[in-house]
Amino acid sequence: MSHAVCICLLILFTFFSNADAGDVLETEADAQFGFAEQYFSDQAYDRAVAEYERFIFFFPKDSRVPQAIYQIGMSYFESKDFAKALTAFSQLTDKYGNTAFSMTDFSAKAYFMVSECYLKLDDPGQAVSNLHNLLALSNDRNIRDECFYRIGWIYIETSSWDKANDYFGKISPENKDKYRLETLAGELNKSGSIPLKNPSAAGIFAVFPGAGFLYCNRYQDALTAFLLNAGLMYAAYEAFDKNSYALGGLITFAELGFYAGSIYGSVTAAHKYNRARTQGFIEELKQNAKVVLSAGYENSGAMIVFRYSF
Amino acid sequence: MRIIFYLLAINLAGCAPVSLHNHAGLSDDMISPVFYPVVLFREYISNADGDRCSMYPTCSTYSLEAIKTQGAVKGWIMTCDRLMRCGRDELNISPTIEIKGEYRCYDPVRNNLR
Repeated sequence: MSHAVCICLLILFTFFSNADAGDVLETEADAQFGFAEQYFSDQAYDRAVAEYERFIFFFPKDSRVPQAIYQIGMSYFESKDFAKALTAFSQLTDKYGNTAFSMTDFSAKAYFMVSECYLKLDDPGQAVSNLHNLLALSNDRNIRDECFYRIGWIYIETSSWDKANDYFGKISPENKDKYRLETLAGELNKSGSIPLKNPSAAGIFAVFPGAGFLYCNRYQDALTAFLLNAGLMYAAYEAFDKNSYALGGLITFAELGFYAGSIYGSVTAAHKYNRARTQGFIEELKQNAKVVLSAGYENSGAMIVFRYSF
Repeated sequence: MRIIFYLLAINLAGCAPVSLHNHAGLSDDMISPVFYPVVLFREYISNADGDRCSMYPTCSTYSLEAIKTQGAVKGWIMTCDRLMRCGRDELNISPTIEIKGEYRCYDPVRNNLR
């Protein structure tokens, strides 16, 4: 009799305890995810990563796992650890990247962030290649247009104006206004008027010491190059004229270095001048025509933020 | 003639490394004779001359890196180029960075390649 009562009690206890455990488990998943989110919003990214990882470990079947992986990537990205961010985003694209994409999917956003990571790691080639992969995988018009837009801007950053124009031209007519393509095309057409110096011309001018620097608007460097080279040439002449061949040879050796150095410096000065002017143009272009795309999200779902300056 | 030597000496001595450690900061792979002029400068001139280079890396460090990465001939040419540019127009062109509480003009070897 007592055995039967015990077994009944045990069955009842097991039944109720299971029900309670289910509730607790669900509550814990929410609490755990919310806890990680709290750290992320407080910009405590190291702790956020640990909590998101804990969430993934304890609740691997939860529908928010892709979001947690994405947030791990974002935590690393925000803390400027781009290599680890790349690993996290790549994990997401590898794991969930073979399904149909839409703009709200974390897989699609992860693809964009992979490109951002490559750009931060100074590898624009891989960034473009990754976006081409996304283009091959997705038929969603909005995703494809954003890919074209991002690739276009990567080419702008590398001063490849024609390639950038090609990709902006591939954006569908429905999204042309969204990306302000008319303004962008107008600004991009001004790229031909960037004042540039010809490095070869700078090198040729530098045959006369200082003239190359003068061509690149470096007046102090020009004067220094002229005085130093003229002085050393005169010194070498004097030394040889007075039969001091060893001294003459030494001065000639030094002078050859400074003479070649002034030519080399003039050529690099032209390149630096061009880089500075081109960078200035790109910054102006960003200010006037770039729509900033940021892959942010809210708890209620994913979102894309558009921002541009008036 | 003497004035020209003074000019050259002033130009060359205008730059000095920020700090000197264990044989002018040379690593084991920098024991080739082509580094000797820079070693001599760092060991004997710069110690007395003090910290005067307004660029980062300093001209002697730049020289060592240029010779190490680009070879003796191109390294020597790049060194001469840097000595002519040190503390002049480059200050208005290259970015400024803070090194040990002091602002210096950032002009590494890689910015001068091509």
